[in-house]
Amino acid sequence: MKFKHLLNISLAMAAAASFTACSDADDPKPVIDPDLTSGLYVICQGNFGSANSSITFYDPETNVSAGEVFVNTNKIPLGELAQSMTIDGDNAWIVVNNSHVVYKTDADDLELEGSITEGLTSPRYFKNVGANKAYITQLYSNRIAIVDTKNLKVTGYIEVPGMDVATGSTEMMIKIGKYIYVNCWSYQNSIIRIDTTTDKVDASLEVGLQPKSMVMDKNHDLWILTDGSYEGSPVGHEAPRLVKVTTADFKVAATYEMTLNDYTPALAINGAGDRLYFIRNDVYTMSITDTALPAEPLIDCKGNYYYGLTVDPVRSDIYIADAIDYVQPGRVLRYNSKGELTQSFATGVSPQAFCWYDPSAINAK
Amino acid sequence: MNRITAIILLTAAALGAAGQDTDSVPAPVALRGISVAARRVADVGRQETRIDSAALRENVALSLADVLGFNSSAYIKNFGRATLATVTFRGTSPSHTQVTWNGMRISSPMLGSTDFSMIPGYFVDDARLVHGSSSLTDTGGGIGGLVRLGTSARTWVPEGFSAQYVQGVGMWRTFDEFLRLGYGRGPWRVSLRTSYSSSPNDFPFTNRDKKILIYDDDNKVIGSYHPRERNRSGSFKDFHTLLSASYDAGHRGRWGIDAWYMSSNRELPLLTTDYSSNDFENRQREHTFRTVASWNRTSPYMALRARAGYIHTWLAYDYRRGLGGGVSTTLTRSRSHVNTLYAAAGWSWYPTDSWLFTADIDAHRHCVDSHDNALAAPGSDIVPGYDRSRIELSASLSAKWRPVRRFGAGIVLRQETFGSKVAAPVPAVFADYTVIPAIGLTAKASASRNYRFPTLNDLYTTPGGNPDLRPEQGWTYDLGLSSQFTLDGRHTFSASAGWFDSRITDWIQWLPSPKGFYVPSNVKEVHAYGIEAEAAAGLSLPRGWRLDISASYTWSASINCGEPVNDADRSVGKQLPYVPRHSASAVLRVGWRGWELAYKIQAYSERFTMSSNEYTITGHLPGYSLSNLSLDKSLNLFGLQWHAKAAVNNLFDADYRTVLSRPMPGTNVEFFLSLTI
Repeated sequence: MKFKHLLNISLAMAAAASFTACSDADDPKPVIDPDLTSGLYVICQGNFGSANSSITFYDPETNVSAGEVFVNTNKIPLGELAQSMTIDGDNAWIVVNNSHVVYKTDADDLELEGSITEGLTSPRYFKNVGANKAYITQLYSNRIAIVDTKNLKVTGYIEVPGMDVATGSTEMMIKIGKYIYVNCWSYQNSIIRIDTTTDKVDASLEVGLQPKSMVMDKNHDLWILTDGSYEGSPVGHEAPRLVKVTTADFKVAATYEMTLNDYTPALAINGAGDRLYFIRNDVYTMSITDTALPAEPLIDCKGNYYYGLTVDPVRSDIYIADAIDYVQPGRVLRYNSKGELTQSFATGVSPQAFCWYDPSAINAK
Repeated sequence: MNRITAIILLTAAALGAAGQDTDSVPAPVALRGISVAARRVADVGRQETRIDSAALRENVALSLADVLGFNSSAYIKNFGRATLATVTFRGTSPSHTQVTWNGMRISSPMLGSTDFSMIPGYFVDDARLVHGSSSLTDTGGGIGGLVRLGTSARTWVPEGFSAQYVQGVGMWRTFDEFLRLGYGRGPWRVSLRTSYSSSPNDFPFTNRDKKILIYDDDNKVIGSYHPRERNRSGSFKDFHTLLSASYDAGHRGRWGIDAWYMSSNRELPLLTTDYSSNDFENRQREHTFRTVASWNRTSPYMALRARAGYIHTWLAYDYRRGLGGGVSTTLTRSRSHVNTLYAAAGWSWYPTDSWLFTADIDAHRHCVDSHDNALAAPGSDIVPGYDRSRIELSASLSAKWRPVRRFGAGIVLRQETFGSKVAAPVPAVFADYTVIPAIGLTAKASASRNYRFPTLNDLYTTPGGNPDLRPEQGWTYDLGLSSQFTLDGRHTFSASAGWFDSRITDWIQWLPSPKGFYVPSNVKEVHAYGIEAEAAAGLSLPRGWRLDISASYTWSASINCGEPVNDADRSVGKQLPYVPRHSASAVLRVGWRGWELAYKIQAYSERFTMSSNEYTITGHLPGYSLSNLSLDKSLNLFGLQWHAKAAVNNLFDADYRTVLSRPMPGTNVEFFLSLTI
């Protein structure tokens, strides 16, 4: 199935890197064209111990979705615990954490073109950082893998200073100029900055316990949402927080503390890069210029623990991943910018991450 | 289930039945060549499957999971060869199967389940499946039922010295050694059994979950194929030794002690979708010592019994991955110490031939210290895990009444406490009526309440334990027919069929949590119902031929009846994951002058991996049947008894999965040589 034929998608997505962790643009300044449309890949994690990860594609224009894209195209399972997907040019790079593989696929239909299998401990996210060069972050490791994307080989590692190997964790990556910013989640409390010209960590910054997700706003500043760890954790337990980091000086510019045990799995930003959306039990939104957390939610989740969140860079529609009972196909709920439910579509098991896709940008090349 | 399977199973079922409990049979009732065992008052309403001793002793390489898989309709969820295997019946979960050994519960107090791949069939002298309500006579917590295991030197050690040595050799450098020594003199019986099994277990298989791409000179993909791989990280080394002694003091009672030590060192196989290199270690090690001492005294009107036991388990799970350059990272370094103390006492009173009263009480004290040291953060003295103990008390009173030969009724009232929590009383009522005495056709019915307390992991493990969990509980109803008789004193037949119906509320399920780890919750109400049927026949034929055939079948609906999680929840009304609707097994043995040919088959219908029962590549496992064939020859030579056996497992090279992405071996061959003195 070729989605470019099926969906007739024609959105330019230069802004993608600023509002999701999946795309790859050196200058992530958002570009808004309301006449254009886009497609959305939903990465469904599946269950631990079961190779039932999958990827669903959704066309917001027609409200048509297609499940099990990778499986249907390649006739093999995606693997165990798909974590993330990054589109870079013609290729979609899919990181399957517990299968210890990063697939290189055709972004159009996820047809398999190769895979990176050697030298990965527990891969989490993929980020292109230059010509034939990418980084792969990992769990249970203090090292970020450097990858030759042409030969699909790990060529080296970036060691994170001061990070213990066994409890090490590096997660999402955002590229601004020559720097890559990485939030270090599990058992960690910092974000780090990597100079891509030297492949070295040149700075780190404490932001709070377990920085779970990270986005960049229109000013090229970072917003980080922590989850505060859990009760009984060796690294402690604290209230989650939303933290603003200015990248010009790499300092914490603002901290907004939440309540202990708040559930904070996801943070997203709109296409303009000026409005944040995050799950704090319910879905909240605030301007990047606000000086306090919003008091009222935009979307009442009614006690459901939603798992993932993204915002349509064009329409500003909000998409929430609902794993339901985690052992059946989940669903994604689509809300308009006013927080009104407009659509929903079925996904694979445990939908948890999103990746916006722009075939027109590829076709135009 | 394929056609051959269906024909074999139907043929077996049609032949009728036998091979059942014969050690409790009093005077038979003869009627024109048919003899029917009189029903004891103790057996009122009881639904039990006794595993034939020939099945337990079939070959030294078989675990109890293998034995039950081919000799009962219980569902064996097998994660691979010599890998975790759990047993469920009646559409329940593994933790709903209670397991006792010589009366002591041996299910893990951490997990609530038992790994049957760790129990060699050769070490079990008596194995019975006690179905549903009937298990409450023995113990609580067995919502699906009870697997009752027994070992005793008294049952098989003859007067004088006896010995047996078995050597097994199989493919993939699999070696099984077994030594059994016995000595009996007067009231004393002593035996020692030891076994050691090992294999790299690297069987080959075609990995249909991976693709190897073929590129042209321009690095374009021009083709692909499924690689031929070997089972990785599957090696095992299992050692068991069991010392049994009994002393019959006549009217002062019978004493016994059994002490079982096992040491296991197993790698945990990778999923078929794992692309990692071989620079890793994924290993589980276990040392378990368990012992039970018993005293039984029986008089014509009364029986007294007392038992005491102890279990110590040291369990280690290590998962390490190489980082290159000789450096590795430890993802898991879990260490668990489990100590269980056990004591039990019981009293039975037969005031008349038609009444039986019993009173039993037992106590288990579990102490668990379980931590994952790999998750200890630098500079912190907090290690995730828990150190808890719990006393579990269980007491029961029962009255059984058989006023006439054809009718019996009984009631059991069981009361249990777990820690400081007291369960509501658990009643069970039983009745049976012999409809056609000539063939022993008896109708049985029972009803009971049952429940299961959360395990210690459910409550306390860190991260994830949920101390607010409620016990699972429900009602079970059984209705069935059974028949057992002997024809002309030579041919034995038995058959049984029954309906069961259980509703279980507050079903505990571990689900991913928002924090990234799994957390147990009371999430479901389950309605499990279906049919269990068994049939067996043993025929003594002219010219020394012997034919034994047995078959079992279960149709089990296990339906989620709980409230939907939300309006998109499609799991309500659907079969639970990994519960086959149909499961069946059959064994055919043909014997002649020291030769025996045995054909075994087990079959399971499709299983779903998702609660909403999706027919997708990862949501659905197709049904399969598995056949084994063996040929055995026994002979006396030089005053010794020799057995030689050749066994072909997975005779038709079935490409099957019991659990998603867990590879299983194709056709393989084993040879065994046994010498008995």
